[in-house]
Amino acid sequence: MEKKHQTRDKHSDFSPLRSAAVASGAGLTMLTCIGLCVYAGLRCDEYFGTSPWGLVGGSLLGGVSGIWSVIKQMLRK
Amino acid sequence: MHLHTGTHVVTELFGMQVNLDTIFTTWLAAIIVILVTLAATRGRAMVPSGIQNAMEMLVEALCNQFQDNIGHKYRQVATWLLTLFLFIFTSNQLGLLPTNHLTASPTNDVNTTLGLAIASSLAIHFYYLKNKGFGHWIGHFFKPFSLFVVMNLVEEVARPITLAMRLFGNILAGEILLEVLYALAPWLVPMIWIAFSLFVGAVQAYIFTTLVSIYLKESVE
Repeated sequence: MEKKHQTRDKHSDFSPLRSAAVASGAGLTMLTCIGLCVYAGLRCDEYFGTSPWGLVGGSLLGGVSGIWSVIKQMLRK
Repeated sequence: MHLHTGTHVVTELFGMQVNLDTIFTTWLAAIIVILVTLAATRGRAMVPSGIQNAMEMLVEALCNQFQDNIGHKYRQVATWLLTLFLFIFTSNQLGLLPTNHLTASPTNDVNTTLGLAIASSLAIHFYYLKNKGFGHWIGHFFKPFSLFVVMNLVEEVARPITLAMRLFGNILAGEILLEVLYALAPWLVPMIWIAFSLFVGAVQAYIFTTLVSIYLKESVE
């Protein structure tokens, strides 16, 4: 009986609208993080003459930052 | 075919280019929000009806959502979030008025959406500093451990850009498609798209406000 109540509470905490709002941002967040870091990497290559390592580093950092940002958004609630 | 949507009347002010139409429609949206809110709150009755009833239903539904997202301290930021929702919702619907390109949504200009997103980001940091102090604010960039500082900083920069681009893209695309549909099939089809755009405008205002409220959770709780 208690288990049944717990399950119901867990379900009532779920808001489809809020989840849709968070999900709609996930892809764009990834894209923005990768875009920002790739741009920063390209500018670094241009300034320091380190081509293509700035771009490579920027792409990797952007991908990881994007995934981290999406995970944080999902875990917030 | 020449598209009017997305083109602006530009003037120069203090060496900067200013989109005059965006400024006028922003003022118009703000005036509409103020007038509707005044009409809803003047002469309040115990048993609400008309505009008071509609506004109370909207505010109650949004406040319940904010409480779910932020927690019991949501009242600290409720006014900010409600103003944000009402302004974005009104702005999104302005472009659907049949005014022969006289009015466009201020949210179809990236300057407006970026302004709203940057202001929201600053509010998130302001409430963090106010509620938890400078030490905790600096510390939250180094969570869960110090190696994550770069990723957290990238996220801080990406957050307002993401918020702004989503709103801007959706509203601009909706208005461009509406103009194209008017040119291609001027009778029934645009009406269906206008009905859908009303829904999209409300959903986009809701998404923007909900995401800001989720970001504010850490600052307020």
